[in-house]
Amino acid sequence: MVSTKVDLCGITLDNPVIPASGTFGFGYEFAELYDINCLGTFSFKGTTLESRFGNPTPRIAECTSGMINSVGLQNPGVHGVIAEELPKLKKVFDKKVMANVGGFTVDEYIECCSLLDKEEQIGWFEVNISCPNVHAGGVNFGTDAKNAAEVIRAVKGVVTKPVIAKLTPNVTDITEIALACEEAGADAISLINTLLGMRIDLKTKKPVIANKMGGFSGPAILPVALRAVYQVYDKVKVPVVGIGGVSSAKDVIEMMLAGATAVQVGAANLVNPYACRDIINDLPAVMEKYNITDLKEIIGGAH
Amino acid sequence: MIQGIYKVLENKALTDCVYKMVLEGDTSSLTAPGQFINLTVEGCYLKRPISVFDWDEKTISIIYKVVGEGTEKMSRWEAGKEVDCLTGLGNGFSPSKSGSKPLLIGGGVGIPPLYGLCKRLIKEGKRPTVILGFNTEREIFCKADFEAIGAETIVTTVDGSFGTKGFVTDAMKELEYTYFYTCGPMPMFRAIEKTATGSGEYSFEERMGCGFGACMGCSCKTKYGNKRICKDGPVLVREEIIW
Repeated sequence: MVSTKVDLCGITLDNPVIPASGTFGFGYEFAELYDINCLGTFSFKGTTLESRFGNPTPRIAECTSGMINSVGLQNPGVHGVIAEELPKLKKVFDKKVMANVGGFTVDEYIECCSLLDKEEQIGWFEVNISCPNVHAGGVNFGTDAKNAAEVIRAVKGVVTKPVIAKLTPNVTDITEIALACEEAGADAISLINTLLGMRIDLKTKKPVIANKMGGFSGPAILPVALRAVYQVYDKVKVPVVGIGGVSSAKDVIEMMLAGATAVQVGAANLVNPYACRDIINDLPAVMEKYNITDLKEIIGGAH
Repeated sequence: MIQGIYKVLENKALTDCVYKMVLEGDTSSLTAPGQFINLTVEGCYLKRPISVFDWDEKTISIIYKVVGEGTEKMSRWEAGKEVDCLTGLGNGFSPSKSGSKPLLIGGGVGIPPLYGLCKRLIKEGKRPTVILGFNTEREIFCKADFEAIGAETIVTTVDGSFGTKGFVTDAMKELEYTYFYTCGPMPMFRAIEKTATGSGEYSFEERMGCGFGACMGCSCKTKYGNKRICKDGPVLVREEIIW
């Protein structure tokens, strides 16, 4: 028998597989396809204080082994999430969910997180300081160590639940931001958000995406994510959640060897709605193949 | 929605760039004409959403236009090939709203989903009129299919090389109808919106990520709130559309 259990900030996950924010909605639509209680947990759709429609369409462009999205944090707003989405989720998911929160000012993060902190379904906050698709007055929280730390410190000051800082790879040195977030009280670091990218349509000779640029994700970014996770694991003491291009049980193991305590699966859910279930089902056999009996023992094993 | 492996039974050219493919497999997820399927194409990361032309207990027929890398690869698939598909996607048309004499208006590759609808309406004893709009005679497809099931079929061509010269809206003007259903390009929709009388349904197209409502890639604003073209659409009713 192999063990796939891991501990993320004091909560035991049955396995390290977590659908990433923005690829799994609020979970209940996937529950029509399979029992989502098989997941470690999932990170729900990035939620902001006010409801948002997001960016104009086209919002999607295909790439070799990946895709670009420019959704722009479309969500019903925190009040809608609490009133409608969480009750629907409760009917189909017995575990703690990860609340992904976005914002445009520090106060917005504070208000949104304070409201969600009261919800017993929520196990962790994943504070998104790294969305490439929204711009607010020139402030990019995730690309400046001081601003990143300010958001994390502010959220930590108002919530009781563990706070995970979700970082962008679109910086010179991701470890500097990770260290600043740890210093500010982050209980874990998740990385990477999407890489800023674009495609141009040869017929129209214009960008495919209405917003011109968007976030690149999918299997093509796995090596970048592994590198970032490896670097950050070396520098911080808090757990690291690995995100980027994970599409198979082997990828999960590789990400954990790089230093991830848990692993998020993003774009793969969009091309195969059963991706996370399949990965979880495949994990024990792949572990046996590589002589792994306890998954948590391999965390950072490549160092 | 279901995911399954479907076998290509037939894949043939109808015109220079429009193909018809018949797939064999589980069709139980299809509940309404106007729904679509999402096909996995080798070497392409995202699936290709294609509307359903017709279906029965064992087969799904689609008609698609070669517009890029994915559909070009699809056009070279041979009988016997197995394809990973998601089927039964989207809401589809509402045949029950048609009244006794509905009008179906299709433009180019927007025509195929109207066939399944037309077949259903005729089976229910309705008398649909169909307008099929093309640029020119050599681009015409599906005309014989609609005629074979007994639909009154009008063809328009922009250059006048076949049928009524002009746009679908030129053929609409003298017609009386109880309800309308349409699928085609946006300029055609805008012209129809100015010409049409009464209520109707438009089937929209958008670049999609997942095709099943997860990614929010194809959202649009409507008078009834934000909708995902892939999941809450592709069919929207006239009253809710914001032009």
